[in-house]
Amino acid sequence: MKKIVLTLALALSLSGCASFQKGIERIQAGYEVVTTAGVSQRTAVIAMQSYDVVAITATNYQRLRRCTGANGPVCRDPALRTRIDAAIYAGRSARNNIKAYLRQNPSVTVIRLADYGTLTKATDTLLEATAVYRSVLGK
Amino acid sequence: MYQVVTAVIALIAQIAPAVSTAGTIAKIISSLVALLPALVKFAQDLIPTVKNIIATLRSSEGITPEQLEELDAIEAKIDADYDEASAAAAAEDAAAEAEALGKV
Repeated sequence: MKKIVLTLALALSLSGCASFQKGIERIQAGYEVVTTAGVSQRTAVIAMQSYDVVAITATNYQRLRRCTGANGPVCRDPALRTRIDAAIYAGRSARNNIKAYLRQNPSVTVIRLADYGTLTKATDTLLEATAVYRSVLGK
Repeated sequence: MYQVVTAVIALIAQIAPAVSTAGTIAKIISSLVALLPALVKFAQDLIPTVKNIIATLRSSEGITPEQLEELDAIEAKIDADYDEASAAAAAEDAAAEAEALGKV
């Protein structure tokens, strides 16, 4: 448990405050657009796996019982179901496109931004949609 | 505990793609490695994905065809699990809404 708390603390320290992190990400994304018109293969592969981790979290969320007003706070908000579905399927499609591209072009070093952007947007949407769930569990 | 571990991994995973400096990558790798014992105990289904993230962060070269095959196998299960959970949630919602309509 101590290790988890330390890891969480490190993760939080790496992320800093949300707005700062968003700013850094935008600068980095902008830098990559200007310099390469794409992202590196490694960045894309980590983004695919990040999506996978968040998809597992989304699966756990969808497995919760539907909120009834009396069974909270750890329950599933039915209003979020279709939003999570849409993000999952968009992210899955982008992830599969990137994998297909890597198969067809094994030596490629730059991944096109369109699929990467769709994938990271889906991951962000899933993190946002499950934020309340994750914060309740973190307490 | 499973959910807490999942939440921590999700947070790290959110940060990882944006990181490019070697020192920070090393810190993320050691954080993920430190989490592995907890994953073994509480969240075994996350282990393959977390190990792959560590391997990708450590590697300076591109993904191999073998790693892509491994990803396919892991992701097939992740996708199938989600589809099953989502279908069950949709069925639960449909039943609850039908019951609510019946009471009106």
